[in-house]
Amino acid sequence: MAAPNKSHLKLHLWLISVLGVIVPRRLRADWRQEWEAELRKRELLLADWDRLNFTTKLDLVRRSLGAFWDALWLQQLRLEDEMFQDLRYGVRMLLKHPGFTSIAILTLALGVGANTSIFSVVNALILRPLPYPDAERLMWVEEVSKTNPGTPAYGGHFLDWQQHSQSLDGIAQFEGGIRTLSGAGEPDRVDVGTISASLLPILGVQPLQLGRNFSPEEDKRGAARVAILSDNLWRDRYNGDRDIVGKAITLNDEVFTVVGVLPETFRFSSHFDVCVPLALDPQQELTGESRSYQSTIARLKPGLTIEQARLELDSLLQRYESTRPDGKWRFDDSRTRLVPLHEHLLGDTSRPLLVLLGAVGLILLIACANVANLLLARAVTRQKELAIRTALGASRLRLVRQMLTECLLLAVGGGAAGLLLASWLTTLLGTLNSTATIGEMAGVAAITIDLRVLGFTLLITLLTGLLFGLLPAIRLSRPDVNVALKEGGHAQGLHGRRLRGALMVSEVALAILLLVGAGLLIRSFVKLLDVDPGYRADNLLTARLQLPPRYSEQFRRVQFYEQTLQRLEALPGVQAVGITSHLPLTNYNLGGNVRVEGRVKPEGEQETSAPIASVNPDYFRAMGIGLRAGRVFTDLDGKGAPSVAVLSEALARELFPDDDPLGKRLVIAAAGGESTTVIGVVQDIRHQGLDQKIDLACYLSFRQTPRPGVALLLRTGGDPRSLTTAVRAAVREVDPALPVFQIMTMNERLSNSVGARRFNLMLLGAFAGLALLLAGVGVYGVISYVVTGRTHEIGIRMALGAQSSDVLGLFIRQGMTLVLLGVGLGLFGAFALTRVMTGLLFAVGAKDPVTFAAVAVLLSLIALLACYIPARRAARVDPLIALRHE
Amino acid sequence: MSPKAYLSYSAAVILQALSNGYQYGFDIMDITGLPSGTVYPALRRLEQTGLIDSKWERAGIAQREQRPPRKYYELTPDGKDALAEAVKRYRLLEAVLPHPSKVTPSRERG
Repeated sequence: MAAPNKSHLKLHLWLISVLGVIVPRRLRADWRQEWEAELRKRELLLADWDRLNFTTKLDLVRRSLGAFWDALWLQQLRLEDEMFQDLRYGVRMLLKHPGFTSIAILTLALGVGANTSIFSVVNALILRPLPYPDAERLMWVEEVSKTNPGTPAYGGHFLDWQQHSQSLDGIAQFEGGIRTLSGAGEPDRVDVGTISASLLPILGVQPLQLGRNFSPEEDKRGAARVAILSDNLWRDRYNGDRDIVGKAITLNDEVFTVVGVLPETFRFSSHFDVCVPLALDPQQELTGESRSYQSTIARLKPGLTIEQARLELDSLLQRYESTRPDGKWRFDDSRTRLVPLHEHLLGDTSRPLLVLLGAVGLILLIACANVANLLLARAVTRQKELAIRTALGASRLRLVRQMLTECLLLAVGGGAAGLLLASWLTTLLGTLNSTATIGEMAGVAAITIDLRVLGFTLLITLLTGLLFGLLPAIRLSRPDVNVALKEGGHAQGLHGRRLRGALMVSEVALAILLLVGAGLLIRSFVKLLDVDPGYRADNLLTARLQLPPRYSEQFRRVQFYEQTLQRLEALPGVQAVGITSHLPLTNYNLGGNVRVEGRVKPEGEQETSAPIASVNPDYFRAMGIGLRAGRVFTDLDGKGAPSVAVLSEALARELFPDDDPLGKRLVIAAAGGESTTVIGVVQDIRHQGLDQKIDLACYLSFRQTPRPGVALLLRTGGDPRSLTTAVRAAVREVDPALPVFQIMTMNERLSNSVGARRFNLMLLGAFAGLALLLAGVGVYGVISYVVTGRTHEIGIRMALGAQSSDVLGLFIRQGMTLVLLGVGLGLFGAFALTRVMTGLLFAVGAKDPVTFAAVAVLLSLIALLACYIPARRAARVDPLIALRHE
Repeated sequence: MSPKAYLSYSAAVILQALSNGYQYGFDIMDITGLPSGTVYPALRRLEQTGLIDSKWERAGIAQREQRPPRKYYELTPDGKDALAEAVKRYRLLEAVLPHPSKVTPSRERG
């Protein structure tokens, strides 16, 4: 018989050796042999029969391919593999020690849960693209100049870009506003988006839920009035009426025809209940007759860079400006700025988020250190078992694998529990998801657990399993068989003790990092709440009103305000009622240049510009803004009387650094441009928020410049909220069709204005508390373990005359040495790391010594307690029992 | 699986082939016409349920032919019972398969 020719590769045999890879290892050799033997035998026979040709060789290959199904069938036998043995054994071991297992899983669950929930926020806000097709091509467009750090684009430029730009797939402008929706049911105040017809197409919103988008013709000045409803408004107010298209709605006394309803899934950074066309007038924009600025979004053509588009828009802007007549407003020095929309909406929310993500990362590390410590402690009791297994021939690798399997089981248990915790936390974070806490992304991003979050959780779960398992596993797999067997499992090497000490030190250090971070935020917050806003916020009720166009004549507005004031002042418990067009903590709606009459500013110097508020005489009393000089308005400062103004201290200083401002004359465009006399100076207020600088303010009499949008302020003796209904009723008596909105106390407004800070503080504070708890448990675990290991020694010491206090001191000294080492390392690390928090702090340095000291003391005290409890147990030991302790 | 449980047709045919004296996987494929992807998993299952047994061929024969020893299968008493049951259901079972010819040499046992 001819020996098989081994010189060339035989495909069928090669197939078998390849397919053998997927056969469970313990069956693999037999399996390969069986197939190879059959194939070789058949080959020999065919050669014998002289029929080894192309067809029969092909048949051999076909038969060897069938081995794949065979190998596949054998997969079920994997269950008996070592891996599954390890798993079964691991589960048994974990179930046998429920106390250990549940503490370990709980610790990990807290770590994984915190990480998953914060990551789900990071994912929703930063990682996930905006919910529009090809969202990376959407750009936020602004205009900048030497004196202008960034404003919405001018309407004329927008129209020109829309017509001529080659680098854009579309550009749109929009603006938000509040109008009164009347008609069926109570009049309601709704958020109205004034949008160009191109907005929905460039966001890729096609088709609408019902009806259609605005046509380009409807987006022109003078076209028929049309509106698109949001899904919410359509469902709530119109009960999801499928025939709504073509029906009429009334906004601020104007009738609009509904042409469409937005899709339910539509998300946008501004909240709109109703959209109406922007309908700019190109001629008016060109001549400068009107000056309109709106937020602008553009969609880049595919493949173009931001810079290319910017250059084109800039050159179009220059050309446009050169064709304009010399009018009131020119923008020759304006340049465009394009920022990816996602980046613009994120604003500065990403920094606190990344700090939080770092914080939860630290929590996870502390949790790992804690579990590793638990494992090491338990390892001592297992040393005998491991020694026996080694003696019976288990390899070191096998033992490491067995122990890692147990750790992975723990990690998976912790991960699953953590995911449960996270799904709850994420819902909680979702409800806190508001513009106050996470900025403009709030309207766009939905905080949910998606596949990416699940992947992240799986990854950190496996990583933690390796992290806390590897050290103890490697250490344990090296038991000294002789020692372990002889000493009955009570031996513990110096090495193990050092390892546990090191873990404890790092836990304390990590906890210090977190505590310092949280401490700095808390100090900032306290300092922030201590800031004097310039007015008295307690016992102050606020509400807003927006007069519709039927009040376009000024005397009607004054009449309305006077009648309303009269009714409000008559309410029981009301001490003073104010009216202002500029409610603190809301956006300005009017500002303007304030010029000193007869004074010419040097060339190149900016005119002083200030917010200009129309207020009633009692406004200052209601707000608790103190009068510094002169007088405030009286009821006589009305139409026909000389125009008068009250300045804030800061504005008075700015305009009249060396003079007494009283009696001086100003020219204020917003006051109709006539000469206005300064009659008083009042205290400064922080209009925009506690963490903002002091604002300039110029006050005019509401009788001389009545504005359509105002806020009512009621200074009360008792709880201001009890007046809510009365305020509504009073306004309704004057005008039944006018809604009062945003009725809340000034304290609530202040509290909302620090919402983002409180949100960060709450989360970081909770994480720091968790870290403190875990570190305390860690210290306790190590010390009580040390105490147990040294019971025999304590017995000897006490028999030789040591007092309880000596023993107590011994262990506290030993524990606190390690704790202080950790505190030192932590403070050192915090010193280097808190730099990242600079932007989140207020009036507190990132290296604030008070915070550092307080945190060090707090953690040391907790650690002292954690040492004291086991140490006291040691000190109370009965020497007789201790000596017998093996 | 108890021997009483119904066998699939391919399992019954394989038992019959074994009973007829075709004891190697490839021989069973030849005589039943079933592909290797059916025969081998069926053999594994039958062996797992205790209807057949497997043994390795004596090393001497393999050495002579410079190949690894082959594995052969044979019916257990349970397997014989199961086959008898199956024959009652698939009446033509005994008739469809021939008895061994000279096609399968070297069936020496280990």
